[in-house]
Amino acid sequence: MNRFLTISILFLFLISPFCGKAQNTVSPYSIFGPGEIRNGGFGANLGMGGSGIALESTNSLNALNPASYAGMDSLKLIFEFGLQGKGYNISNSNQSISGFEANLAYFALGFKYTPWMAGSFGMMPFSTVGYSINRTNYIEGTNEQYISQYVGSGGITRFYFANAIKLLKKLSLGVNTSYLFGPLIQEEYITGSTMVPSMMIERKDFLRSFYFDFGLQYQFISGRTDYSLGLTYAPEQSLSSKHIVTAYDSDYSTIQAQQYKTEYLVIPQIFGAGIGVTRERMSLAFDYTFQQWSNVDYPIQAEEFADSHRFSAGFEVNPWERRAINPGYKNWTYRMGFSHESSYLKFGNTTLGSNALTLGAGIPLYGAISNMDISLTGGTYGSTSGHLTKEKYLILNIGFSLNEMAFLKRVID
Amino acid sequence: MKKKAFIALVGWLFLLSCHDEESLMVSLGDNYINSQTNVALIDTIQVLLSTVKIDSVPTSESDYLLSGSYTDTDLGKISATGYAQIGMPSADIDDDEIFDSIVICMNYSGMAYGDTLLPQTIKVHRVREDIEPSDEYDEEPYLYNTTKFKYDETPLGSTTVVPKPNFHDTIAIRLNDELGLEFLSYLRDEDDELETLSEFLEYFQGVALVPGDENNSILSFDADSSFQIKVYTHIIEEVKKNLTYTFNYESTSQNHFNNVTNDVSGMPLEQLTTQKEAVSSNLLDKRAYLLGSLGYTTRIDFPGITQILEVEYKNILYNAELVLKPLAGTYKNQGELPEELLLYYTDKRNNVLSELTDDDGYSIPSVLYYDEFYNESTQYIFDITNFIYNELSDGYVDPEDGLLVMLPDTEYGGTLNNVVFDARTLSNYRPTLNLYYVFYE
Repeated sequence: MNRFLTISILFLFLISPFCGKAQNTVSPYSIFGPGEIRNGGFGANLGMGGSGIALESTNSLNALNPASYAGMDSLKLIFEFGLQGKGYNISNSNQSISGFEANLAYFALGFKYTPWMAGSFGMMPFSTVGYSINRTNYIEGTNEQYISQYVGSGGITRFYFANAIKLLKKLSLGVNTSYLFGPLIQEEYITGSTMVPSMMIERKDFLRSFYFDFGLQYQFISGRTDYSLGLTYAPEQSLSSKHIVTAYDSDYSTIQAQQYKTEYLVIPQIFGAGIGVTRERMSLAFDYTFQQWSNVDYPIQAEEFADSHRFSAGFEVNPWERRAINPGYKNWTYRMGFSHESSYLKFGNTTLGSNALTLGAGIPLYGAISNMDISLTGGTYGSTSGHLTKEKYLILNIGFSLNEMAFLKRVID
Repeated sequence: MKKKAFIALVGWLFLLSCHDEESLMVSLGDNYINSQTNVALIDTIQVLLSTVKIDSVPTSESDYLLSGSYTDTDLGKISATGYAQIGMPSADIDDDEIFDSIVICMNYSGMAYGDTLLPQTIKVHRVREDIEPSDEYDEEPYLYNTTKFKYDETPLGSTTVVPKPNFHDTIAIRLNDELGLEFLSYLRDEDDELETLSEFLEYFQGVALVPGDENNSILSFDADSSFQIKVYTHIIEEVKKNLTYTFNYESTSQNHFNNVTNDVSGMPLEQLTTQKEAVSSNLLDKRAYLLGSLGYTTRIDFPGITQILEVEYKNILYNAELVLKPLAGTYKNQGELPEELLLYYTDKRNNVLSELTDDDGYSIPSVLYYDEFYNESTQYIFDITNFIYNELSDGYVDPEDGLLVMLPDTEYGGTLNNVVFDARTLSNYRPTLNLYYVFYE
């Protein structure tokens, strides 16, 4: 009970930075859509290239598919949190910068109510925004130019509460209800000239919106091999936000301000499918995710979005049988993953793509019921053709899955 | 347990300490971002010009005395008669002094209107009424361009010259000797001596500078101490001694003004009879007039101004400028165009209301762009942002509110500075209201 209390306090401790100012992603592409959307996986999935739609939440939580919670061990209370450090280099045809950022990637608690029903709640970033972009404009009706500088910040935070039930012994269904909140801020600085006044137009969206997604998982055994199939689905959803547009003059005094509710932030229909194959101490996972961005329009985009496709494959192995007397590394789980995404951003003929390779390890803590999952992902995103930018990054993710025998302990107390 | 807390704490600190603020300023290419802000120039609101004639223009505050007449093709025959009072010197005149001559001297102000290459006649007449504002104008004790006073039919003197206001400083006109003798007799220490200025002004009310019939220009003289009558005498004592007595105009106490009239019979401007009516440029050959001292001013109307209220997008109207062009051919050089013009609010009766000023109450003079080479883009630009703001401030725009283009005070009542505005709609010009908007979403 004491431990549980400690964890709860830590919990609150960890929430506080989430509620503060969101981190800079420093990606010019985050000007489009709701920002740069973060993939949802936790430690173990991240080590497999973000794959795992078909995998069950056994010793750790799998947030990629809400149906996965039904697979939790009945006596476990799982607490997960992850820290992420990212080193990046962003370059375009004439300049390049490097940087580092770190933040809390997620935290979540999973629990089983009954042998056939389990749930999880937690918090994680949904999207992040951070950009600084110049645009040359013309005064309509003249040949005079002026420059707008767009500076974006903020991000959407997701609080979710997911529940899964076993419909049949091998078929489970999950429903994930999320509450999305947080600010998306764009400041447009207009550089003054003889014909244009210096001014700043600030556009803020304060999101307060529910978001729903669903999942199915089905397991079957063939010989000594376990197979699993997973499906996830989220319908197209409009996020409601309080939109505040304020125009400031060069002295930063308000000229005009408007505030109204809007639902222009739309998350397209998302469909995911995965296959999992487990044999002895090895697992393989293949995922495909489709996001129908071509149906979605944002005011800032000049060109149509493209549908995005993401493929990922992950491999997990325990090369040695777990034994208490083993040297540490022999009890580790080793993971590897790869992902390729053709994103929804298309500029002229260039569709932005990303590729990433991950290596990871799961290190057991406290007699194999808790884990620390470490992964290192290297990847690229974007292209340096034209005015575009390319990001190269290295992400270190450290995730903790702390399994408490909470219900059992209470009896002993 | 301690270990766990330690890990979490380290993680949390890590989060706080590592945050890179540097960002890459990029241009993604202007085609990819749909600007949600548009700065636009909208110049489709119609600008109508008409001509108004102010009933009476105060001319007694001016620094100039005008005299002459000329015929303008549009404005008719313009005649100006300057009136001025003259003060008295304090003099001790010997009984033996012998009168020689009496002369009126005037300084050219440097300005002239009409054709100064031809001979001009100026006749100096003695005024026979007190040059004073009439009682009905008590509140504004001015003398106006329409004011008249009786003067003797026979001039005290006259001259016909080819004036060279830019080469000569002064003009001197010899007056009737009888006046000189009279002046001397009234200054002598006798029973009928005039001792005070008011006594003198009762006796000699002033002079009127009346143009001759055949004049081709109006000349402008300084209304200051250089405007004077001089009486020359001599006395023979041991040697001959010449003496001069100067009868000065003193601006602090004396009155002067210009009576200015024009005759437009049979001309388009004949339509203009009272200030209440404005004659559209459509009836004046697509022209609108401005002329100092006679009260011609150009009225500006924006019949479509209510459109401003109908703009659907969020917008900031940050600048409004009015562009008017003087009609090419109506001026020969930049000097013939007023350097600055001002705007006044007006109502449907063409009353001159308050001046259009900036937020601090300062004048916003127009800017004249003079196209020395082609004359094509010579134009006046007026900042009328505050006018538009005022019109919009109560959410209602009165299309009967207009603006009057006026000369600055110093030119309004003492000069014949003028502009003929071009009111045509051409492919590259029309009187234009430029509205600069920031539209944003």
